[in-house]
Amino acid sequence: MKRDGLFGIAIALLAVAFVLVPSWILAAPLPLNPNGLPMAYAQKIFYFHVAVAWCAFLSVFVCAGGSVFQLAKRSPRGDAVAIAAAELVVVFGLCTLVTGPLWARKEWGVWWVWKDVRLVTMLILWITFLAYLFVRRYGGPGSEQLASGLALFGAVNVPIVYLSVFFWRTQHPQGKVVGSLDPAMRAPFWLSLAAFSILYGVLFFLRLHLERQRQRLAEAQLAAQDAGLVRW
Amino acid sequence: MKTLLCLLLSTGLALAEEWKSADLRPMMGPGEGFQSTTLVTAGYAFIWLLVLAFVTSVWLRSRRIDRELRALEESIADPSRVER
Repeated sequence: MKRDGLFGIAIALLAVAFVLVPSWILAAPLPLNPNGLPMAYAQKIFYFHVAVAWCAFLSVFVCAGGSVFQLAKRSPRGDAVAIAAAELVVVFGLCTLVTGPLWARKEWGVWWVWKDVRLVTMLILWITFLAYLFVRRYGGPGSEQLASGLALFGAVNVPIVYLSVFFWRTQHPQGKVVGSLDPAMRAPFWLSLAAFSILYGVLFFLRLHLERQRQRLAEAQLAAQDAGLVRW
Repeated sequence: MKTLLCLLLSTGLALAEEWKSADLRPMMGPGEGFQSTTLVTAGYAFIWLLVLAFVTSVWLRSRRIDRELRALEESIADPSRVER
């Protein structure tokens, strides 16, 4: 019943976000480009693209935090936090990697630029967390430690992704985009960021709840086996 | 009559200038409607499909854990009934 309630709340929040956020964002006026003309309509992708990238980065740090607890204290709770966050890095990272090229196609005329350090480091970040999930799934006993190391490696990569535009010449705009937003873009941008952060929170707690259930089941199975209550 | 026409014309021109310079911006850039709309729709649909797939996957895994838990309870209650 508790699980059904959680899923009900999650679906309701998803439905609200599904209707309200795009309505606001798609109806918001387009900002002007340096020539004083409205930007292309594909500019709307910016609001989703930055928000999902933010969720991916946030999830990397949550995963790294859980991994530190897992490594330092062998904490099952830390482990559950880490694996829940790692799955969401893969989900939101994939969203970032897909929405970025859609916008790039309109803005730069190409889907992908291999010389762009931000694009390539983001791809490496995503592959790192995909590797994390593979290690956890197929690594066998002790894979938690190896996966935690991967998560910390991934966390180091986040500042490189973010700061790459300052150190290398890339297709991405240099400088602080959020700080220099056109006034017409501020409200939809912050709304989108808030909505996706809430969405991230809901998905994270759903996945965390599942992982804690799984851990409790595994503990119960072991305890029952040790006590000779079940035959396997 | 001439004065009235001049007044209307000047008011109309002033309003046109005002609309051009201020808030009434077109929702789409000139000559790029369909492709941009397709890209925005594709991007947004992809995000939501992936999120819905994730929620469905969590829900299915949660149901599987419930089934395993029930099986464990049954095997504890009657060890001869459930063997794995």
